[in-house]
Amino acid sequence: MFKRHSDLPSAGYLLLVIVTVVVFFSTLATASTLILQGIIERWYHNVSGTWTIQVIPVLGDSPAETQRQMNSIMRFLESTPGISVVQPLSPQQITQLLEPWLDSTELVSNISLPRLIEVVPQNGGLLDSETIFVELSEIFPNVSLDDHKAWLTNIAYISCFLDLNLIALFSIMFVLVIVATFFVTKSKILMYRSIIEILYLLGAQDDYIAIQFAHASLMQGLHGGLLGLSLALPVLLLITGWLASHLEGDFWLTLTLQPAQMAMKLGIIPIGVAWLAWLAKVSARLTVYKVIARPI
Amino acid sequence: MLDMSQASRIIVRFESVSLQYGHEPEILRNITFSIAAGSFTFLTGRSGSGKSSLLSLMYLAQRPSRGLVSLFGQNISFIERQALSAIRRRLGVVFQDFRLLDHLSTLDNVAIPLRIAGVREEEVMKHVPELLSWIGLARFLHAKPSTLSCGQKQRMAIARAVISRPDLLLADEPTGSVDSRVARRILHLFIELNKIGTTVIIATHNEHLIKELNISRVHLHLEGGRLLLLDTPKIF
Repeated sequence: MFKRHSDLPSAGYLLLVIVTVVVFFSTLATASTLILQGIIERWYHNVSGTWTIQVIPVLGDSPAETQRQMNSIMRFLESTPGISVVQPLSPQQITQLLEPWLDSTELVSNISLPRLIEVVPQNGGLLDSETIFVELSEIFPNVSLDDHKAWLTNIAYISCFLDLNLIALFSIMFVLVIVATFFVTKSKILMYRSIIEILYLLGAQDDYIAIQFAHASLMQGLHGGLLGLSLALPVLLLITGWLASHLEGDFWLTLTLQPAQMAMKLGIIPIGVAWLAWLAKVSARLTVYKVIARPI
Repeated sequence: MLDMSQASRIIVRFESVSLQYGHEPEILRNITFSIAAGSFTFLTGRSGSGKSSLLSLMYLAQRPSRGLVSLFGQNISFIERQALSAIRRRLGVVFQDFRLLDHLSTLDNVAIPLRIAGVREEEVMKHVPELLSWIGLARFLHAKPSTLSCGQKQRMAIARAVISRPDLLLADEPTGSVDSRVARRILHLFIELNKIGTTVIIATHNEHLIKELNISRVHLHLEGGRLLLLDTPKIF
């Protein structure tokens, strides 16, 4: 389908190599970015729409007294309109959360730890976290409420940064290919000057010659892109496989996207490759028109 | 003025044309002549007399230092780039140094004018082998020029020049590297082309060849940079 006769000799594979390297690294970078965005999306999803209420035990209170206070707070929350879920974390759950950091169950059990309650406001509800906090703190001064806004804002900024990063990466990729094509084509025109002059003497127009350069660049762009992609995918699988074997627990799940999602999102790479090849073709053609000198 | 064009359409016209390379003495001096469409012209002269330079003006490889060159009624000094290509496509040129493309096969070299003209690939693959077979190169379709003898390269160059049935055929020493049998065959080809309307101009130092041919032709001779008319057809 892409086979086309050319009167010009094939001159090296510089453009192919450049495109291969560009696509290889951009595939890895894109996959990494997509994975990170997946993590961010999950964090965002897990954290957004929830509040965490922290109950700091009063000095001198026994665990039973702390539990009674917890029950009071929960009754208050459950009776507040606009709250759909009130879910306390048990002391054992809190111990489990802290254990990896402190590395000692005994130490953790000897510390008087705050109690946590996860609260989910109703979707579309008008309940304001600040209002609830004010009402709560009037009755229970030793509580704090975290609606995770600061954390969510930071996540949103990071996500935006990753998007911009990806756009910048693709832009640089395209510019690199255009510039490489220009210089490769220009040097080929100089190298084949005598051949081009013969073609002109035989009646060739600029288009006839430009199309041949363009086609050669298109094929090198396509082949380079496919080669880069073919090299990047096994490396990607190796890296993700290594991570899977070294990451504990559920963290690995947060790193991976669903296969269908991954395939769909990584599908931008072949589209990018096709774009690159087209850019190489157009760049080569325009370079010929600009550079080629008249033999007479 | 040498004018063989009294009654016929003029295909080539030179008016007071001179050609000089840098500060060297003029190679061509004040050349004036016309060539009629459908004529058969020999251009003779000693080696170095300027025959190739004269032909190079006709196939638009360079412009004259002075004077006017007109091809197919168009003054080449004022012609646009696109129109230059269009004129060249009406020419068939056999270069003295062949100017074959070494990286292409015999078939692809000869096919160039057809491909430039946009002929369909099926037609190219039909006509080129036919012509190469006629000219004795059927066995060398896929051979590269570097593997061929001088005579075979010359025949390839001729095939390339005639494949598109040009309106004007310019041949610079087309029989210089072949034996007399092949030379006659080549001239016979040119004569056949001339019969179907191609204007033929052959530059050669082999004046015996001209005497052997019993055809109506024009004989121009270059000497000292000037053009002499030695013979014209009896009937135009």
